[in-house]
Amino acid sequence: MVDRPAVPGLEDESAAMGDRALWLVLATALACGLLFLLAVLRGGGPTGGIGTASPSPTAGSFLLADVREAPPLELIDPDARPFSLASLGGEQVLVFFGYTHCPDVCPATIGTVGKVLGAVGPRTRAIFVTIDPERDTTTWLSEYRQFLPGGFTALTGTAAQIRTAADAWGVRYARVETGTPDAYSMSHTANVYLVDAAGRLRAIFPFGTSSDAMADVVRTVAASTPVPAGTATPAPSEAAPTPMPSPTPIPAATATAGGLWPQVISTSIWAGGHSPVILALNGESGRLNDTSIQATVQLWDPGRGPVGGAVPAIAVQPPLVDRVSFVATLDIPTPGPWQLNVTAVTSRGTIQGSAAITALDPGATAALGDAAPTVHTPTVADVGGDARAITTDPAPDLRLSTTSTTDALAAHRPFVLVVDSVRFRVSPACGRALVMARYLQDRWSNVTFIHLEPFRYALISETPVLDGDIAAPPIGTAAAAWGVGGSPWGPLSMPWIFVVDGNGIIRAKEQGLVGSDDIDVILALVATGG
Amino acid sequence: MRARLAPAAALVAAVALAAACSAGSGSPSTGTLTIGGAWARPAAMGQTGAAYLVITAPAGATDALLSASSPDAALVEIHQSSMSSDGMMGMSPVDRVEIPAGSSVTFAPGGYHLMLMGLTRPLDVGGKLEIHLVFEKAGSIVVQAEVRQG
Repeated sequence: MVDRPAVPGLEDESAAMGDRALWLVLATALACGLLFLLAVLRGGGPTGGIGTASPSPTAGSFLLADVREAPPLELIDPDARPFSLASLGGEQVLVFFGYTHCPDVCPATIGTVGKVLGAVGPRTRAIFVTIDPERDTTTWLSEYRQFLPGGFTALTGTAAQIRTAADAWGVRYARVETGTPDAYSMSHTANVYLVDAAGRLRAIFPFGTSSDAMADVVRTVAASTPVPAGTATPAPSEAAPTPMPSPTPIPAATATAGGLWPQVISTSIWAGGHSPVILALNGESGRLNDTSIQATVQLWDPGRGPVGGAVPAIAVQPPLVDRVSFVATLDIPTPGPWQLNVTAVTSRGTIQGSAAITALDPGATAALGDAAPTVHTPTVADVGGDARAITTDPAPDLRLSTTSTTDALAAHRPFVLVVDSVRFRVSPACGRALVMARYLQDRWSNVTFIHLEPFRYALISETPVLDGDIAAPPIGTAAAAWGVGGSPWGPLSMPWIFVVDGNGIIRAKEQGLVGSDDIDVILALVATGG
Repeated sequence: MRARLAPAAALVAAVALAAACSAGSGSPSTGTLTIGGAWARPAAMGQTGAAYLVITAPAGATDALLSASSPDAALVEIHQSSMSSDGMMGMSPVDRVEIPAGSSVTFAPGGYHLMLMGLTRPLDVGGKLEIHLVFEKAGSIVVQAEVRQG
């Protein structure tokens, strides 16, 4: 018999048991053993967790008798902006230390905390602090954050900064080798910490605490904490519509005044004009999946003020996707940090918030809003049917190599050009864009997905051999026509993705790790002629 | 509780109530190994995900889960999360998970899980993930896990 004790309150109902008559429970337990009895008695509740059975704890058992100032969290967010707990003055915060490659304990805890945020309302936020800064870089966290519930901020830092923060919070962690490089796991304490609106550490929840129990404590603490002077703001639902740009910029890290928490979905935002910026709009009760919302975005120079006029953010809901995104096409004059002030008119009123972005330098890459380069990307037909001459994917999807960009342009058909290499991996992201293309093309029958190898190579003894040094790989003719590999990005910046509409205009451009959300939303926009 | 049960009585109960046992697991059984309630968390491409399920062995036929794989992950391992005496949560690979005859083993957060390493596509809520399970006796079984939040 497998010994699998239960945790009261552990979130999950993966093996929800139906209600059974008592006789069945008892009889079954005889046959199936103690474990099964426990599982049935728990009904739709927790299963198979860790710990020992004990009565459901009351709120008091989580509260700290010794109320003290919360330890510092001087780290950076996925946009590489400095973060400190003080920037959340006036809001309660749930803090959890974990790592994104953690498949089980961390997502379970994050899910629980997400439910708490949904239950207690807008004046509580959550912070996920990585204890694995080696893999959880800002680049990766900016990809990963779409999997965090609304109201979460992810933080990372140097190994030393993370260790300092963890020590201050009493968090312990250690790397556990699995025998495979990069596949190590981490063991770590998995408590959730509650910081009140006055910045004091008030409660600690052990792993497995239910969202209901946690929400009770959050409410209890909120009711007993005076909001510090100067940070009190009206509840978002009561906020009256206010004029858009205030004389002073809204602080970049959070928007507490307007009931709107815009979240940037785009992985690449470009200076130089026509850059589509994909936003998720989060209200007090979560993501606003409402296509009737009228949203506008004002670009804001954090040091100076508004730049240009407010532009509409178009509501987009790709097929088979239940989330609504908003896309504002912005002309951002120069690379660097910018702020977006977002106003959304909903059926309940007008709400506002801001988000910080970093505009990238497009360098010599084919410009957004321009006509696509007319260079011919090679197809299987061009090389006599031997796909190995034009793709280094050992098991290529030939649909990606059948149509040239020139064919798609001539047919006025939207296309997605994926400049990526499976064999010549110059970055950890290499190969991933191609995998995504294989997956996305099944969703978008009216869009052609085209793979282009970035580098020149030759087939020698049936093996692709680079026509140069992998440290400075030579860019192929077609890739060069799209401007990839040039300054300031260089040839090691693969992969790149370009989205071109039916009029042959470049509508989006992505570098490095790209979320499928990005491409889905842009294609939905292009498909509707937007 | 089990210690007080006479072995013969336990055997009789196990045989007589095999159907009740299976019904209680939520997965009807007709004498073969059954898998129920398979689900996986949403995850990004390249990320490490996790899948959960309930395995029920028929009466009189103990089996064991030996390995798992998926066309959408580079590697799938059977793992078990556990808490050490000093409060650290960790996880370790498991070579085999025995499914006692007439009983269920639940894979759930904080305990047993199928760790999906190197996802080759994102797992979006509402989607499906194909998982191939290899059992000592029942052989290979393919299940479709629903992608959803916990």
